[in-house]
Amino acid sequence: MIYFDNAATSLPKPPEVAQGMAWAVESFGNPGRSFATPGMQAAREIFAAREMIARLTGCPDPARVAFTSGVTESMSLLCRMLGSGDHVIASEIEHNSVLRPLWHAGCEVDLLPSDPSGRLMTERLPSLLRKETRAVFVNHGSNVTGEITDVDALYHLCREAGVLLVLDVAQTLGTVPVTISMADILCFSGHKGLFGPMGTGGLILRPGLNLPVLKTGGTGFDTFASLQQARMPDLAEAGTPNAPGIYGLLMGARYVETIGIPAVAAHDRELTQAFFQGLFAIPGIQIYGDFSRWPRLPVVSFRVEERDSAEVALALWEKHQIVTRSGGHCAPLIHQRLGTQGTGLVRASFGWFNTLAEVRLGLEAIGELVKGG
Amino acid sequence: MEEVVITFDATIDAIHGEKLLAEAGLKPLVMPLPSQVKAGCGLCLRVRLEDGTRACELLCSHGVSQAGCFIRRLGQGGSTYEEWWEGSL
Repeated sequence: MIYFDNAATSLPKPPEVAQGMAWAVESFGNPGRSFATPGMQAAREIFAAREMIARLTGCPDPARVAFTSGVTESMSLLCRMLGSGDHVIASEIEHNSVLRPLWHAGCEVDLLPSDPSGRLMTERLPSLLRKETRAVFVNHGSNVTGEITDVDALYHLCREAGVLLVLDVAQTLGTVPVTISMADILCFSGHKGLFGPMGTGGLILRPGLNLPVLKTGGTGFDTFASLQQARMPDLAEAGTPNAPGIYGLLMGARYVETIGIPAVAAHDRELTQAFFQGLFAIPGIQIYGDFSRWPRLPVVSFRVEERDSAEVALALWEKHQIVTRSGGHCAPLIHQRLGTQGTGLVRASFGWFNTLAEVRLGLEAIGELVKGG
Repeated sequence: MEEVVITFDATIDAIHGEKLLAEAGLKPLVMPLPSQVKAGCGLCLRVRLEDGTRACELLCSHGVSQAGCFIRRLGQGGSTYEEWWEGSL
């Protein structure tokens, strides 16, 4: 099998992720609930995971890192601060993990548009900001086009306007440099660039930013208080945490830290460029995104003539055991902008464990497919 | 036997505190919050009496909030707790 679906979840994981999780399942007690060794072991490792994520993102305080099941849960929790009619701005490259929580909250959502190549038109933000705007939600990197957003300009505008910037770093953390200085809140996924298991992720608050309680329930402390205190990380973490998953995330993130983000980015770029160039040479292929701009994510989305993306992905799997992702990629607005909502796109997304040899095999397979093979 | 018991209002402070004190060689021990003492977090840390001041200062210097500090005396009828220090340094 050749796995080109790392934007959905990275695979394989470094072996220490599964090994560590198996140890955690057998060893961990409930963290923060007991002074005895099993519970303390879990609590210590979860704290180590907070320190790791804080270090990777340049956050000075590990307590500013809260774990959730991923960006979808992080965004859903943040949307509890919002109510019907609240004005927010989101971008056209957002994933449904952002759009649906905003729409379900009843927010009035204005959209920051992208150009035909998928580049976010950040210069349009000032015209969308209002006095009553509560927050701006932006995807740091598109899971469809691979475009990386110019966050510096956006954050500067948001700070001037006194509006919160919430950045979705699902596709970028572990793949390109991401720091807490880029936004007020980062929402991250643990199972993509960080090699953690699915069902892990979280949110990171910049120092000095306070939020209300977003998730209520047992926290292991303040038992007799009827209301929880609004303090990080507990304001987003009530209930027994996914301790084995978080330990797996720690193992994955350690692996990334050992390799180093620059090495990951260089590897990804080599593969992505090789795939793009090979694909570009095949007649009948339309590629989406501007590959003259770097850095970008290791994502190449394409269409084979006017064929349904599902048929192409199916053929790649059944004839060549190549895993790609077809369809709309949970990102409806960018597909509408690109005009690809009908057929969807075939997306190849690369990771650390992919090789140039696999890229060549993938290109040969697509070439055969175009010729009718 | 006397030792210093440090209490916290949140679990993360207890866990962070334990790590800092262990790294400083103070060999903290974790224990459940005794009923005679009030604090938000059900975990607290014990250190030797002679390390109490250094432990509190260390936690404070790293921004780890403490709920209180007590001297624990082990007697035949159980332990007693005397408030040794409370609030931030």
